[in-house]
Amino acid sequence: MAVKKELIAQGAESRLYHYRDRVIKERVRKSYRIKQIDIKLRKQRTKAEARNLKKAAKLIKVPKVIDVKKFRIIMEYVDGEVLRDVISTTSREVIKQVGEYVALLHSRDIIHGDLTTSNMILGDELFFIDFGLSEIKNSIEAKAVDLHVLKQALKSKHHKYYRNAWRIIKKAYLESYKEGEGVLKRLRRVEARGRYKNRG
Amino acid sequence: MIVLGIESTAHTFGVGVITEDEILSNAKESYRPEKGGIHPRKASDFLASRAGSVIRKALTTAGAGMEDVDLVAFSRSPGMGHSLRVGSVAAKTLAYEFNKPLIGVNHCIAHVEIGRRVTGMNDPVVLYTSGANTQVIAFQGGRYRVFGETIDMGIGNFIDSFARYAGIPFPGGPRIEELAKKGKYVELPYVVKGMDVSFSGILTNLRQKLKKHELEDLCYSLQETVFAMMVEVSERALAHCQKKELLITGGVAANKRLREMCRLMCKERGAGFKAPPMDLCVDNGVMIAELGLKMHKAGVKGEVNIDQGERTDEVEIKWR
Repeated sequence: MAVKKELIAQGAESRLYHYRDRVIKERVRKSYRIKQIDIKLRKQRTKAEARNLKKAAKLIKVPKVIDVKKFRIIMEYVDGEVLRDVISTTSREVIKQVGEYVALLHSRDIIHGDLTTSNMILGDELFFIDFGLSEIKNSIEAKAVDLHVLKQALKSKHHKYYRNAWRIIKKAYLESYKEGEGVLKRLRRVEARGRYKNRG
Repeated sequence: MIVLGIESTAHTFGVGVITEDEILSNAKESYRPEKGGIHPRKASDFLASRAGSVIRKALTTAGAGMEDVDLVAFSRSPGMGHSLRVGSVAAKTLAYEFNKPLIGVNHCIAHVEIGRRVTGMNDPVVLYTSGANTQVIAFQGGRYRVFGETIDMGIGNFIDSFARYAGIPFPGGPRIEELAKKGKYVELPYVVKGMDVSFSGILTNLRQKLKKHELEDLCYSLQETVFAMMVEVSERALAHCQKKELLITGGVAANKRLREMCRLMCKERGAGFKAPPMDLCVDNGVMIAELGLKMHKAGVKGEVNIDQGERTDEVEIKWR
């Protein structure tokens, strides 16, 4: 019997399908932009995302890339709960691991770009997913903004656990990333600017 | 309640008179440089020279005198210091002379609020595209958050700068839109960083291409590229905030291609799309009156000192 692919998520630029033990992320055509631009962007971004996923895979747990087509990334399906839904029962160890994961990514200049608890999956282990906005950037500012997005996500979605969780994450980040001090310092400046924004 | 609003943040001195139910008048005069960009002092001299006549015209059209006005509102932020001062002095003079309450408002939020009033959209994502500003704004957690914005120049200034380099007289937008209809695509950089857009690199690139390509082709490619960038960021905000409506405003909202792209994007998402009439998209006094009215009714006192750099998300929103 054929297994139908099931739409599991729809973002601004892509659709996510679950098919057997795989996830297919497909960047869809946008009719508002001309073909030349549309095709260029979908190709470039698919390539960059797959590349960053592979880089990240050497450092932390992310879905393994199985194949990359023109506008499609085929990756392994990660079974588990979205951290957003289970944070109230999550152990201290897992929260600490969030900080360690971010530190590891940053130590190799990988900026995730959308660090929210919706993009973390807790199964047998903790996974980071959705590198659609990720970039490689050796910049303290970019790393501080990355952390800021995470902090905001915790604050707005998990108000009750925010303080404690952020303290644990910060500590783990500093322990695992030797330039972490500078990033956290910059984070204070980012916040002081009051020009923070949610990223989607 | 009759509210008189004064807009004076850049090159327009605008005065609007409104009530809760009606827009009674919308008078304005805009400074047009003979050549080059806007010189702050020349612009403010112009605004000061027109302030009296624009106020008079707005009141006459509204069929009201200053004694009928219940509240004076003015744009206190953000904008060019020289220009802000002209509006602030005019508003304060009126308020003190006629003993009326005075309220200072944020220009960007005024664009959003007049858009909500005239389109009837309750909770839209707003694409605000003008000379100096390019922002994608949405209401969340009690504030208007800026989800994406330009990290260098505003879209309007970008278009006008290109027009100047290409020898197209001010304002360049309409002419570029016309030329673009006959153009073909030439590759340009596409610069979206996270949720933000950047135009300065594209401007440099276009300048270098001016001698090597047909102007029509550059105009076409410029529009297709930068508008796609703004529409992409708008779509991200819609998806992220799970909102169902997009509202476009600001002077660049006059561009038909940009509107078409917004409409297409919204159609694909099943979202609504609207724009206020053009005389309320560009800088105007009506929007200042509208925001003043909403703040006043919500019991917000409002600052009366000017602030060139106030950000959209610094303003506490008590009327929603």
